[in-house]
Amino acid sequence: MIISKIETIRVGQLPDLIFVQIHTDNGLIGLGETWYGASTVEAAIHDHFGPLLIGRDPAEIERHWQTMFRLSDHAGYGGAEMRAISAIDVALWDIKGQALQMPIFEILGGGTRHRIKVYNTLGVYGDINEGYDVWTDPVGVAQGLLDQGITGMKMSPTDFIARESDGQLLFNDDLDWALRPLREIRDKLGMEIEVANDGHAKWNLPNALKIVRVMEPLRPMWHEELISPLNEQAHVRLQAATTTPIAAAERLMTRYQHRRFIESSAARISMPDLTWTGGISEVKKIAILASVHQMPIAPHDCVGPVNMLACAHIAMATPNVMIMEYNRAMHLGWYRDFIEPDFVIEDGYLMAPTESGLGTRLKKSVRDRPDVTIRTSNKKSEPWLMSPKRYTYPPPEIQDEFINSSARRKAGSESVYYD
Amino acid sequence: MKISLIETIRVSDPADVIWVRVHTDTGLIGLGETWYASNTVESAVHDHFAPLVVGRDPFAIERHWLNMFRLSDHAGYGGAELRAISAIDMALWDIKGQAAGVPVYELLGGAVRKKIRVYATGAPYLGAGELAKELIDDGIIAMKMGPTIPVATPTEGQYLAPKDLDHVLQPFRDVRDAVGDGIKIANDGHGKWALPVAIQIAKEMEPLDIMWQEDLMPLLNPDALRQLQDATSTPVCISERLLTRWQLREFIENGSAQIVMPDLIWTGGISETHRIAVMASAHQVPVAPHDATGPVNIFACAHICMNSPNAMLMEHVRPYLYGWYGEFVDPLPPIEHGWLHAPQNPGIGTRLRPEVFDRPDVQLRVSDESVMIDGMNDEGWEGGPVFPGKMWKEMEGITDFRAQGTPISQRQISGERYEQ
Repeated sequence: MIISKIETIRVGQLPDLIFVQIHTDNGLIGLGETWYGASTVEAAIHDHFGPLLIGRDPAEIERHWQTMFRLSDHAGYGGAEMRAISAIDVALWDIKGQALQMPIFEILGGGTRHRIKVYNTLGVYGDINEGYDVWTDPVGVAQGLLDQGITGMKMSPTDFIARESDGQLLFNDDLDWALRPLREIRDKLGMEIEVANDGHAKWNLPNALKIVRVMEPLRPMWHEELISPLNEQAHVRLQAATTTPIAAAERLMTRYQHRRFIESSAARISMPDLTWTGGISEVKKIAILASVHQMPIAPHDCVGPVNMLACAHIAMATPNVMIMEYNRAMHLGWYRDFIEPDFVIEDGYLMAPTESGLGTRLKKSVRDRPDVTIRTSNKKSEPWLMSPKRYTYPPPEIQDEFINSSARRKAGSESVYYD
Repeated sequence: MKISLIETIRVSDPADVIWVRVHTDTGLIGLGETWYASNTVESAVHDHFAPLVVGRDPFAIERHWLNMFRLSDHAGYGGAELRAISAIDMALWDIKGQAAGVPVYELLGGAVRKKIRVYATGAPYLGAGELAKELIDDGIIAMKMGPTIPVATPTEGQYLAPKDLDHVLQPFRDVRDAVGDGIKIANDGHGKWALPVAIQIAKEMEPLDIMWQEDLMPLLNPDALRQLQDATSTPVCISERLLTRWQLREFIENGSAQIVMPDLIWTGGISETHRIAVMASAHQVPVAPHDATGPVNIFACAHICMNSPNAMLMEHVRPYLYGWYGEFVDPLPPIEHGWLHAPQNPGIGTRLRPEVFDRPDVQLRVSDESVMIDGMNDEGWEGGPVFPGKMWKEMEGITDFRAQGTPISQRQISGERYEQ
């Protein structure tokens, strides 16, 4: 089986969303997705990584991940390239699952559970206004979630009050005002519902320290990105100041960045975004790293529908997954316009996908949308990375001299890696 | 698919090897192996772990690993229990690979390479130079020996006279005299020495260009090993006696190990070695799997090596490969001209030979469905005679970690590929 074609699909309605479909010569199609700066990701997929993949075996996921990562890390990994790698990685796992007729979590080691608890991140889409309503009727919003069996939610009460000073000045009365909805929920519903606090990296360290101390009696599930995760030592001081867990969240790329937060006790929960940090392969690795430190992961969402399914496979196969993020507004608002079948949320749990591969596919109708942009690559080219003509290599005649000079080299060392 | 029985196979020679075969109701049989104190392992497999595994879904490898590990870690993990877990884990991967029709490395994420270099362990005190020439002729470019091991005994490793050290380094000098830089040489210390002697040995050997210094000291204190690594330019390697990622972590994170050598059949099987390789990769530390045990270990390590970008070299013992391995498995590990090649058969890639079961010295033991714990199934613990059912019902509402929903073995996994 070889990769015959790579396709990206974007729509004008959601300019951050991009799907990637990897086609094989025997007709399988693997689906991946990422979110954010979609046109840049599109270029990275076709211009940067496509030539590494076309004509190659889709089963060699680890190798493709390495090759793509190395190509991008030549000039510093991250950004659109990591998102492109993440989407491609998911699509390759989808192909492998379909080819083996197994859901991906079976290939990752098998299920340690069959469903994972979700919490709802308050959102606004179409008729759903929970992000606004939580300010006017917090108990109503929380009760609405509890009625559906969802026992956790995430809100960002301090974003608004950070606006004026860009997070540099915090007044007690402002914080008191911002925490009113959460206080009302605690007064009326006690600990029936867990509430996580997302700070969206708006604050400086002293203000973040104040917020975690003031919020302590309200028992938040965790604090996420009160300060930007650029310096794990600042996070160490924040975590040391509170019994509430600090979550190291979605903007950390790959195990190499997560490692610093995990090992220095800068966080007690790891929250990788699968579609940004390196796909299913890398999140599984981050989870393993976290497991060595008795630390759970709580995968990030708030992107597209494919991420939920990819994270579902991680969650089923990985013992140290705590809870899964879920955005009800986006799910009920637009996810179903794009994928079929939908993932299943039941009694506050995300259920294990049952079909082989990822467990969903892109709806045919997406291709007929007037606002769709589809780009396809099918050209196999010789990428400079693998070329014997790399400028750092000696000229071919000297290469021959090198190989012929030793029995060991003649024995076939030239064809082992990444040929 | 369900696990129908677990079988162990031992022989009198070699007495340390034990194979575990996990049988399923579909007729698939998974093969695992471990080495060392095999009768203790046999008892751990049957008395300790079989009730957790028999009757259950073989695909839930991660879950079985956790269940078994937790059961053994109740009283401190390690030893025979962990070797039993390693062997069972391998057999479960073998089943899954066979069921999927692919070699195990495909299930780990696919291959990054088609073959990996092997090194040969063992050399005589006299004639190491000749052996090195022979190895190079056979395509092998690295070797390992441990000539300092015997001289540790008189002082229990607390002191080594410079003259004695000079004497035992003769094999290394013979190799360099015979083949120059044509072969890499590693030194294995078997954990015999105190820190100052370890530093003395490492420094003295530096001019001989040693590939790694393995276990010069017992692997009991990462801070002490870090002092050794700081004192020498030779990479320090931590070896087979560290169990699970939790022990290896301390040595990798503090920089005391530049190379890690997990023993797959001791440290927790394919699952745990994979996790160790991943953790090491986050520190740019390579993995060189340990061998000098049985033939199935080489197959299992081959899958790790094909999949792990940070695999460096694979160990093997040539007298074993060309000696007793052939009596027990078919095919033999695919080692040719210095390379271990990717196994091509589905699953782990080899089988026990049928005549093993007819040997006069063979000892078989079987745990079938009669060992299953009442009330335990793929959905978890339903409440048996030990645990009051009512209490379980109360806990059910608050316990999420327990496996829930329809067991995989009973679920319909759609057999159809997506319509294109």
